[in-house]
Amino acid sequence: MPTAFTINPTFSPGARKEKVKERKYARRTSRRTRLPYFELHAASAFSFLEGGSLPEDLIAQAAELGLGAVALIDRNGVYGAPRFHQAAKKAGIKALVGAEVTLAASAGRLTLLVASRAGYRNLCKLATAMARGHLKGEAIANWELIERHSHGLHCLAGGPHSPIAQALAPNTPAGPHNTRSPSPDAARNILHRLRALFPGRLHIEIQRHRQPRQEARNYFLLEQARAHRIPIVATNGVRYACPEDRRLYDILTAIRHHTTLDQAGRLLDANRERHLKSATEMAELFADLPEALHQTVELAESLDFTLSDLGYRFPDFPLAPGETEMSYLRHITWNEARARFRPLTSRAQKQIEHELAMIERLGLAGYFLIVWDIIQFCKREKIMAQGRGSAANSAVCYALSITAVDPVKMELLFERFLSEERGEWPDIDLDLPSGDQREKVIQYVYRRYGPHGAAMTANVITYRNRSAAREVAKALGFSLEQQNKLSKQLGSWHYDLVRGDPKSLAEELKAAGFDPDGPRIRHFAEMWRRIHNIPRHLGQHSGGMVIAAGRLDEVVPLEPAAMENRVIVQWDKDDCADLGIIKVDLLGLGMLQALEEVIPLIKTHENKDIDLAHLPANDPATYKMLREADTVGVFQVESRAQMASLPRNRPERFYDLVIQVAIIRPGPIVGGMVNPYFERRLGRQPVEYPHPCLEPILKRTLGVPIFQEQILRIAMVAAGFSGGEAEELRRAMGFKRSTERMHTIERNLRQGMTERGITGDKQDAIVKSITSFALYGFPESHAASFALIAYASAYLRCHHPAAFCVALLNAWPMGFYHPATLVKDAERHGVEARPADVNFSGWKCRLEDGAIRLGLRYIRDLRKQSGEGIECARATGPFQNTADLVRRSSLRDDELTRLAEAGALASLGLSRRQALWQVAWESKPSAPLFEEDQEGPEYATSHPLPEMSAIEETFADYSTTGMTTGVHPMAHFREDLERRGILQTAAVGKVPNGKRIRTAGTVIVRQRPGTAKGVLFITLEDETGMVQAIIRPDLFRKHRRTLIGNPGLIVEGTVQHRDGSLSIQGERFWPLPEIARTPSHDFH
Amino acid sequence: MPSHPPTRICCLYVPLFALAARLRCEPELLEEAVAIFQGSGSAARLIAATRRARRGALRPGMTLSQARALLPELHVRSRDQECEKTAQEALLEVAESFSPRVEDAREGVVYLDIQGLERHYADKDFEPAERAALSGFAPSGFALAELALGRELMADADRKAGLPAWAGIASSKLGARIAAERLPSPTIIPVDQETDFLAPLPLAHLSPEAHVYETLCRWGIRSIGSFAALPANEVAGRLGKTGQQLHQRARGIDPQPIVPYQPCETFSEGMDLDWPLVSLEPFLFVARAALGRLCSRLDSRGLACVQLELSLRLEPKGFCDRSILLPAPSRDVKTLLTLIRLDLEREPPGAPVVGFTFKAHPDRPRTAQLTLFGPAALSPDKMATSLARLFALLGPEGIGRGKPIDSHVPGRFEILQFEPPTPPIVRPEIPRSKGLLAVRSLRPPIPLTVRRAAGKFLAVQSRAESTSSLRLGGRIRVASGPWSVEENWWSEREAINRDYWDVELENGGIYRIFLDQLTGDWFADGIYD
Repeated sequence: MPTAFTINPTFSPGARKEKVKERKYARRTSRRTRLPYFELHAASAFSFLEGGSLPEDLIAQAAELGLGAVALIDRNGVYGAPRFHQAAKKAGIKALVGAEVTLAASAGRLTLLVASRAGYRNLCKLATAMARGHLKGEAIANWELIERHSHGLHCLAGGPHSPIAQALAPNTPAGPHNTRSPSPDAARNILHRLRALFPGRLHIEIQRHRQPRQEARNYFLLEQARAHRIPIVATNGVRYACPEDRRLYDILTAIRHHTTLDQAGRLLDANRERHLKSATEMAELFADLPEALHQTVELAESLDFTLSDLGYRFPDFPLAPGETEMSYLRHITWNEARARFRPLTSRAQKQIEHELAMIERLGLAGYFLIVWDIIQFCKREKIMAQGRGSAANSAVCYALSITAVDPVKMELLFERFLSEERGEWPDIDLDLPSGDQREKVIQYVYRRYGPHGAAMTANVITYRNRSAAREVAKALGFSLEQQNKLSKQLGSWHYDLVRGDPKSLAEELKAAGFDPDGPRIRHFAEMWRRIHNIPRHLGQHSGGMVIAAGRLDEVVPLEPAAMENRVIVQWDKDDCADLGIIKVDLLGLGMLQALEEVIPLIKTHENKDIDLAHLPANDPATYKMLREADTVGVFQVESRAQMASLPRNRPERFYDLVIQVAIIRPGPIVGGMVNPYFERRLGRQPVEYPHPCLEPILKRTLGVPIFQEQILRIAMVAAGFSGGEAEELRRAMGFKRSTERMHTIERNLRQGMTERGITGDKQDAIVKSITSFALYGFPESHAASFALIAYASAYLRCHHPAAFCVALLNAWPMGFYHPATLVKDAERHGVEARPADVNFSGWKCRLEDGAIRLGLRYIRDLRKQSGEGIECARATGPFQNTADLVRRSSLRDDELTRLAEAGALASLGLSRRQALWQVAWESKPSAPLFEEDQEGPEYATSHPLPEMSAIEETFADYSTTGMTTGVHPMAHFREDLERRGILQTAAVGKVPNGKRIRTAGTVIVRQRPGTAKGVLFITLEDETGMVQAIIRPDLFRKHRRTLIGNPGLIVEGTVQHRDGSLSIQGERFWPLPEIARTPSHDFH
Repeated sequence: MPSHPPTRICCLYVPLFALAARLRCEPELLEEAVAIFQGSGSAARLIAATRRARRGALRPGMTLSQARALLPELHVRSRDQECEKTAQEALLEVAESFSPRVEDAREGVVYLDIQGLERHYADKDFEPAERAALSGFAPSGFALAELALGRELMADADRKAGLPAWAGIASSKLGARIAAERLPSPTIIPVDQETDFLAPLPLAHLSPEAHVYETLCRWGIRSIGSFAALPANEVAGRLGKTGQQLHQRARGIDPQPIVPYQPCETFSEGMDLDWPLVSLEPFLFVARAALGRLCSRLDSRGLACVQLELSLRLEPKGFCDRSILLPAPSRDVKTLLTLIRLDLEREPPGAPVVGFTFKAHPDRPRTAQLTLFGPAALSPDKMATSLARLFALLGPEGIGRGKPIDSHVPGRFEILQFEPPTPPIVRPEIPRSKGLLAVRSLRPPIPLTVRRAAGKFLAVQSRAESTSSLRLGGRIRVASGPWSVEENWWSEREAINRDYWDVELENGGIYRIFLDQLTGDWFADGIYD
């Protein structure tokens, strides 16, 4: 058993699927004594702070106790039902479905059990109706709603939250302020009403938690049951699996009531009786009511519904008479294939036929048609869309324009996408332009399948290191300062664990200033560990949509999302996948938005038609630019690390770019594959293979595994893994990996390789390359999809830098660099940038005679409506003066001031200070006294303020827009820097290798990647370009203050030229504090 | 027309007051890197730091994590209102020792009206370097006397209050304040030269409101003089009344007078004895007279004593101080004397007493509004006296107010400080019985021996060590339970895990008994009546 100070290494946060799979459920056997008891009222942690155990924990305990059936009754929904169902299936337990439904006017909760599929449909619709129009977690039902959806549902009346118990309670546990008197008459009325609502389906529920008040209620309930001949059932109102889970339940209760354990009083349960109990224990408790136990079995056996019988149906694609989905898919695939595959080779035809046959066998034609339909919509609406991930391995997807990479030409592994062994729905993720265009597609799906036919998947937010520490510490009564310390200290626990840096919890607590042996901190440590993975609330998945034929709200309850016009289901994407509900991911990608924007710009201003699908292949200028690492703004290859490696990779064709995208990832870096590849690429190392049998797999990457598919193929060829085992390996390699599973797989790998004669160092090398991929690597298909976008963005940047920069600025935030860097980079490439101006700028940036005109969106704190108002008002003519601007736009005083300070009133003939002086007058109180005093335009002629100096203007630019279209801040100091012998960054490249120099610039990137063993990378920018400085960990520690705290730096060090990439090995550093705080991209 | 002497105001200013106040309480940190933060959690921002910390690049406005990143060995302290309050009082006391007209401007700033005081320092000798401290103004004899006054104030602040104060003297509060913020200190602004003095100084010295300051910076206005040079009506038109007032101040116009500070009083009485006292009774005799005077002074002000301090001067040297906190304000001499007697009996001074001082901390005595129809209320004064006597007899922990704890354990309560309840306006109605049994709690619970066989209860018997006069015992006829309670698992001292049973004995008594699961012992803690 893990102690309070160890973390179970097999559980990483979020890896709950792994948990489910790894759990050993005790199988129920016929030898066990079958006492007459099933638990019909068990809440899980999916009651959100009202249950202390995950559904899997409940099932594990139920299996241990030999219970034949358990009903999951969570609050206001079936959030945990899929996980409960999956676990129960493995354990051989009947998983019954139900919910506790909150009644309006604090009248209590009704416990409902699903009897049939019709009942389940009603429960889902009821939960959906309850959530509509209410805030998250505040769904309520009125009696009318219950009546409308009561068919197919059984009701258990009498539990502690039931309306009967509420009527009988003298006061609530909330305290002595509520002085309501018990009302047996009201309780009788409620019972009468329930009998009418659930004829023959009402049961009196008796619970015994060793509390005297509960016995008084039970006495009343038994009396009523006998009087009205209502069957009684015994339940334990379970809130956690085992007695020891009660402590976590108490913590959750304190969190729910925003109090501490010390102050919670009777909000907490009196004892630890609400755990799953065996039939024997229940028989002892209900020795006087054996019929109540028998009735649980009778009722459970009569409930004829589990989630296996969900009734989900994928929507039918509308077809012409006589056509089937498969025939239509074949028809359009072959039709489109001729246009997409140029030429449609016999290999491609064979692949398509192979895929179509598998799609037919798996019955997935409808799914492909639905995705194709979304793509067709995007085409119609001229929205760029591109499939990412493993879908790019499919020739059918390529033919249907779902993906943009020819998998046949690239020899991609189809089984990575779809396999009969897996028995899973394929996963197609579509990249769409982020922002409005993506929303348009989402709304199309809603429209196409109706408001009840489509919804976003949920994202279950669980307690993680930081939140767990804060909430548990708060509940245990730690002070705010202590909470901060704990949450900060433990905030990166699993992050470090995943990165192979396991820490001792006791040490961490000591570091936070606590005595790990202190009684309360020991409780904290234990509870912090236990609360991990407990659901906290439901969020919205970033792009996953599920759709159904007919009503989705009959399959799973729907809830309004926080975003307008969005609806989410109560299950996350894994749950949906487990239950066979199809999901399509519609993800936003900033670069697609930029690409979409750049094409009409080029058409309008350069009169050139750009077809991204048919850009000139292997464009020499573009590849030259890439080889020179001149890639600021280029998709995926613009980062510091990518820039440093591009000159070594020297891309000359598309596949080089695919490798470039994939190689700078933690997997290949930690696996030590980057250097060997580049050395081989540069011809300095022979191309060798760990084993001759791997040559066909690794030939294209010069004997170095770089892609996930290669890893899977290596496992299949070298260790004899089956397709399914390889798939298992892929899953284990995911970010949410399990160490234990990886160890098992490594054992199997070694065994397989030994059997095939691969031993010793070669075996070790293969195992290392496979296991290091656990730290994250790209599939080839995904890299290829991204490389396409990377090439398109590089091509456009190379040939249309102004339009490309405008598009990037309009799509920002995206990419790696701040707009200040993007603009300066464009300027260095001969593009003129002009400042924002009320008479020329729109809300967005635009092209103006080949120059970039900054948009008003970059004026800090200027509202969009104000910016668009200016644009709109200008339609009737340019603004003449500030009074005219104020009159015709609806700008706030602070917005006017910002515009004046940013120089955006320059076209009115005003200097910045002049403009500031005038707008201050315009902003004065508009009382009649001042109205009479209104001066005319003559007040523009003079002002008493000093004019801004050049450096003041630069600083004003940064403070108002975050960038400058004037000179670079460093230019103001150039004279002084030159006098001190400090080189411009552009001059550094001309200095021979190994020479010691000094250079200076504003810091635009600070990075300390986990894979770089503490090395700090800094990118300096000046008016001539950028240069990278590398700082050793010991120097970083020594100069930390200077390196982190200053916007500008002077760096002294040795110039390093390596295969065309340039850097400075930094040794000494001085601050340049006088530089304005220019924005930087910092990863510390 | 008679010419009035010019108004002269001195400002005592403690730079980084929050830090200075803290270091006054923790002098051992003087040489360390210390930073004071204001706010809590992620909103906490650095407001002051020692020189050593500032050398480590710490700047105001930094977050705790930023500061720690720069200086891991930093000592972090939050603002302490109590430290600052006492530091401010100490600074005021220093000022009061110079001038009767003192203004408490809070946050380490005190103004003194020093008009005429310079005469006491007129014949002070100065070194040439000290003369140079007059900031370039022609050093007149008047200014030199003020310089001497300022220096003495600073020295007293350091010596008596433990605060590193700076001083500034000018004809207005604003001028004095700005002069006080400048080095070398003290800074004297001679009469009629305030505008010239202010002109080159940065705007921040005027303490403008943040938005006005931002606007002026945006306008390129950096000094008070350049602001003063702007046309007054244009400034008023753009910056409103706030800007207009600030502009006036920039031109040396500050009409605000000193707002005198009203000190909080304590009342002292005492005497030096002609011969040392070695026994209690003679001391109480003289003490009674002193307390009588004290109480009559309190009475004349409508006050009562809430805390009584006694300082005994001992032979041959030394002091013995003690303080008695009363549960309620009182001016009953007998009660106060009893409290003193009990305190001295409990802890004698250990040496002959040659003098004593009583210091009474006053408070308003409790009052109560009598009602016409309600029950007769207790006299608050008598109540306070009775409480004080009980307090003297039982000690501070022996008296209080019981409050039920919100708990599943029957009859749990805690003792709070006694506060007499507000008398009810009408006589409360006694709730009617519903025919249920009432439970009388047994405190402390009576230890029992319980005999059980095969899970059935047979008999109970009080254990011999029970101190209760109630002896219970007999065969058990019926037992109902268990009712389990497990609470406070997170607290080692207060953890409770009990199984309760209601048992009816053959002799007819019905009791609530429980098994303490943590110790395995049985107790009875209630009787059903």
